Amino acid sequence: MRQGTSSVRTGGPNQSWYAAILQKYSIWVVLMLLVLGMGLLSDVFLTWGNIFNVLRQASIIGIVAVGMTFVIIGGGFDLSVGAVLAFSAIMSIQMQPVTPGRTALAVLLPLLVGVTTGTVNGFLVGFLRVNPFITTLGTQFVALGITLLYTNGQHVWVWNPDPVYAAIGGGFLGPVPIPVLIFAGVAALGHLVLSYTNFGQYLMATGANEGAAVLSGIRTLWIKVASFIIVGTTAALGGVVLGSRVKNLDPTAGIGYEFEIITAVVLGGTSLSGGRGSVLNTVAGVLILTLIANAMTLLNISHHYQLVIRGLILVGSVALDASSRRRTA
Amino acid sequence: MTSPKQEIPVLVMEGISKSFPGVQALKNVRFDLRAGEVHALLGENGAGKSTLIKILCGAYRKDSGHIRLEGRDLDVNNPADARRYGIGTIHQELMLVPDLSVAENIFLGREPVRARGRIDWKAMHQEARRVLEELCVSIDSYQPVRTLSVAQKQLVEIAKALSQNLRVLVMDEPTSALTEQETAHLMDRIMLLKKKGIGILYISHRLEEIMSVADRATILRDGEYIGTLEKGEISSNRIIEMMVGRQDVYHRWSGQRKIGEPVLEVQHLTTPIVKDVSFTLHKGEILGIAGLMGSGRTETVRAVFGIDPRLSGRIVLQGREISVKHPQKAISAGMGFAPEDRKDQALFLGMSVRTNVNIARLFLNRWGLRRLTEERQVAQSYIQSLDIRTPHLEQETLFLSGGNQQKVVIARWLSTNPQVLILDEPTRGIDVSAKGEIHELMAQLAAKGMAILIVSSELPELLTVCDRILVMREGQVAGTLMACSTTQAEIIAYATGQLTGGGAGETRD
Repeated sequence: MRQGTSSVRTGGPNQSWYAAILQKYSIWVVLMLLVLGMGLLSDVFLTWGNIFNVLRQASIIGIVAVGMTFVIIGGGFDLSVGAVLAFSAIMSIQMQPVTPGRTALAVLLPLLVGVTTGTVNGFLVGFLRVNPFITTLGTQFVALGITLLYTNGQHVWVWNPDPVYAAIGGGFLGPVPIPVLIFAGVAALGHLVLSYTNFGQYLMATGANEGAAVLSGIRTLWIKVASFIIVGTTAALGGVVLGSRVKNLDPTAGIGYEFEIITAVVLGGTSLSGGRGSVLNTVAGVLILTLIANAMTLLNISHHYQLVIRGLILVGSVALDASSRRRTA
Repeated sequence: MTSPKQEIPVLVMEGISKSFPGVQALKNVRFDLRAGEVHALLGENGAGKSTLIKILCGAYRKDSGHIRLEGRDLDVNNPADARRYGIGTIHQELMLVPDLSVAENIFLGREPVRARGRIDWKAMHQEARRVLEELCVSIDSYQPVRTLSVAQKQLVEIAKALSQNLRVLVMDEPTSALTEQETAHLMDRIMLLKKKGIGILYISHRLEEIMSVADRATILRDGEYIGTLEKGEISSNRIIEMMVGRQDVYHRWSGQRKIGEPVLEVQHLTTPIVKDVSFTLHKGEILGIAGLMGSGRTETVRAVFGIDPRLSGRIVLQGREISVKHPQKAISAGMGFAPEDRKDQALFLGMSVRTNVNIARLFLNRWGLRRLTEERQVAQSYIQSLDIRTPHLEQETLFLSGGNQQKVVIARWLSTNPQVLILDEPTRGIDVSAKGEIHELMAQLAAKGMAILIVSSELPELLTVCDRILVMREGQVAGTLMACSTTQAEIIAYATGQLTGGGAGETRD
């Protein structure tokens, strides 16, 4: 079925299929080394409590990072996720989910907002061919502005929420926090769609070479719109989880989320030039980023240094992506 | 014309070799250029002309060989070196900055400066005007280049070259986008440059132009030096003979294929470039489209496949008019299209052979998921039947040779089982043996009833594989010829406008 190493007659790297797989998922090796290193450094680290704590911290960013992976692979970019996430969280809380009916509203309405902003971003980028950075920079501020108008700039909160609503962000299934399960589900679904559906393949093709994709019969504009709808939806879902978790939120809470999300995706090896990336590696990127944050907290490194280090991680992984692209170009 | 001064070569290139992965582009090629002469460099596409001039102007590095300018060995590593040595190039695609003025373009990177780095605008425009006057060109030096015509832009390029104390000027297809009148005008300017003692390396596909302007002509074929003709020896027959050479590579199609009913009818197709083009393609037929660069060949097939928008005209596939607003419609109606630039327009270089083969027709199970086993089987079967040389299915197509990349693109379309296969320059830049394999494949497919439309700049290729040849000129059909009875000379005559009207091939319809 697969040829491991047949006679090699082309000029390319003559690595075997298995070596290619290993290289593709090398980020997981980094993650494991990091886990081992942390385990040696700290007694608390490798306890179930801390592990689930790290995973729960990772889950909100992780959910959105899965969506972001789709957009970036398709050649797009979305800066508005942080603002959309905050708007969804605020809206979710403002629905006052104290009854099952209101809980349904508190979940569905924010998701609708996510789909809508994703559609708007997608049409601007896909059909009007506006630069995705500028488009989503704009929609980011629109979303933030609407959030502030909606809340009058005040905190929002909900007392005594419905138990179902409270469980979304704060519940457990056995020892596993519900947000972690949602993250795992979104990641599994994302991986399935990206790697095993024609949409996933068309998205990769669109990001890799849009002209060739069109000539192969792919409706690239719709594919791009769909990728923005996906990220908008995941941002909204992340918002619902956040709202349920904190139940008390400042309208500017979403600022900075997009930065961590994009860092995680790029760290996971998704190419900013599109066409290349993997949901599983994004998951590893999210975990590494959260682990480093967790480690820095355990090691009592101040928030200011943490910002510097995170910035360096983003720049470093972008530089790595650019240099690997130069080698293959 | 032949003063003794001209006999001493200014520029000598000797033993130049260059290879790319999978292709030996130049083998031990030589070329020399005398002061004040126009020396034409000729050859079919893929013969190595552009590789040679790219080495001369520093875009590529040679594997071996010498370049000597006035007896001095040159080491040209980048375009800046070449410019410093007085070697200027006017590329086919002009290298001007559209929003800068004529004078700014002429002096880009070498602006005259006054104290403290301020640009001396007055001196710059004065000097620009002087150069333009020297060329007898009336273009305002303050005019932004964006507003100029193609011919005027070319003159700006020449002025730019002239302003930098040039010894050698390379002109790559300078007339491909010019009208007849503009071409004549350009020829006058070339005479001026000759008088200044500049040696001109001239590349053109238009043979009558070569005969009028060239003092000598060197012919390359398949990356090898074939010979140099002196002024008195240059004739289109002689040149074509040397360019085509080795008739044995191309076995001219002699047998009769069984040609069936019409499959694709293109009626009065008009786009901004193509004017009222009509033709019919039959089952089992290979129809070629010939024409000079810019004659609308590629634009015609792009419009048929739904890439470029149509202004008017109908496309009828198997008796039913189809709306091709997007290639996806053309594909689902039963067409396939391998574009001319396979790396840019067809391949996903970072993706595997498997994916590249399957992308136009993914196999899905009832849950909407891809059936990877099928994908592997399909890719594997084409790797075998087309003899695609790749270490494994998951190899990125980036690492395949040109011929194998082209086979991957063809495999993609074969897997959709099309009724009409459109191939635009299917053998450009691939080596002779892979070329033969692709020709063989086309014959096999046609024998099985596929209708094939092929665009090619290589006339021998068209004569080898086609049943009929449509010749285009300035966006229109200049003639339709039967491949078995026509000649390269006749095709060229139609393509250049020396012959017009019908042609024998129309009788088939």
